[in-house]
Amino acid sequence: MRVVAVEHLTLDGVMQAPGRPDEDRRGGFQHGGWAQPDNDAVMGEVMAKGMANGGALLFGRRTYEDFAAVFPGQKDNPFTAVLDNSQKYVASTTLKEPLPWVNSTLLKGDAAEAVAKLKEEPGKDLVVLGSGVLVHSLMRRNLVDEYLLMIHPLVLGSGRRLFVDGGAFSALRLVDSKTTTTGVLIATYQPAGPPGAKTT
Amino acid sequence: MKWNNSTLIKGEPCTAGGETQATAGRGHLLAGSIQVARTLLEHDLVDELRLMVSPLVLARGKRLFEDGSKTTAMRLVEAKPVGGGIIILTYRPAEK
Repeated sequence: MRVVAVEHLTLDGVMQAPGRPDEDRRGGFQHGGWAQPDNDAVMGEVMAKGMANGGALLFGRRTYEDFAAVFPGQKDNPFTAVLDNSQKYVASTTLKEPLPWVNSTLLKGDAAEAVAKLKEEPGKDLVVLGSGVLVHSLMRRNLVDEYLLMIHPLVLGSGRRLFVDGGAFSALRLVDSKTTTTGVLIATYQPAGPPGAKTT
Repeated sequence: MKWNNSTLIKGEPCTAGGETQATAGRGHLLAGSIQVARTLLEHDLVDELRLMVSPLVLARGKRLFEDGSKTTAMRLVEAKPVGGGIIILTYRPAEK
């Protein structure tokens, strides 16, 4: 399976709390919900395709708990059925099974190790939504096969970033780019070398 | 100044930029110059921002937008892939 990281980013690279004001206030973050005004049909289609192509979803603990609190039971939300029905893997050292949301499986122990094993299994994409801490650990192990970055026309000046100082150097290849009607650049990148190859 | 057609801007670049912009009537192109760029961005003196985004994650080095940058909404004017995985992005302030 390929690991695809789907991330909302600002121009200054912030990924924290794109969806709602109370989504993630760590560090006193005040700008939660910044991505919402930019939703349009182009982005909806990209997200729907990313989430509904029959693959599985992969979450860090925090994003999983947030999604599990928001999506199940929403009758008017087209993403709810997709999210309910998808196989969901959750990386956490604190959660215990059974997990509260249907079709959820806990990845125990070292998250990157568990994802490396999952990648060896046949199947479609393993899509990671948000989940910064998890994605950082996957990046360090060269386990991300594709980045789908939605870059919003916004500078926040604070918040957690996707690409942090001291992270892994990585040369990428631009595979596709399109823009939404709201000025969001949707760029798809893949590692320039074969997966797992040294990129320095 | 050793290079022809060069004018030294003394003192605060924000004030000087505003003055020369008002008198000269032509645009100023700022290339690189990260400290001046940050100062002008901070004072809303940038009318257009062209970013050339390379497909590299360096994980170290100076950033154009550091923590503490002013919260700014922009408008995407153009996004142009130019080969080599580079995208040139043109932004203007959202209200202009």
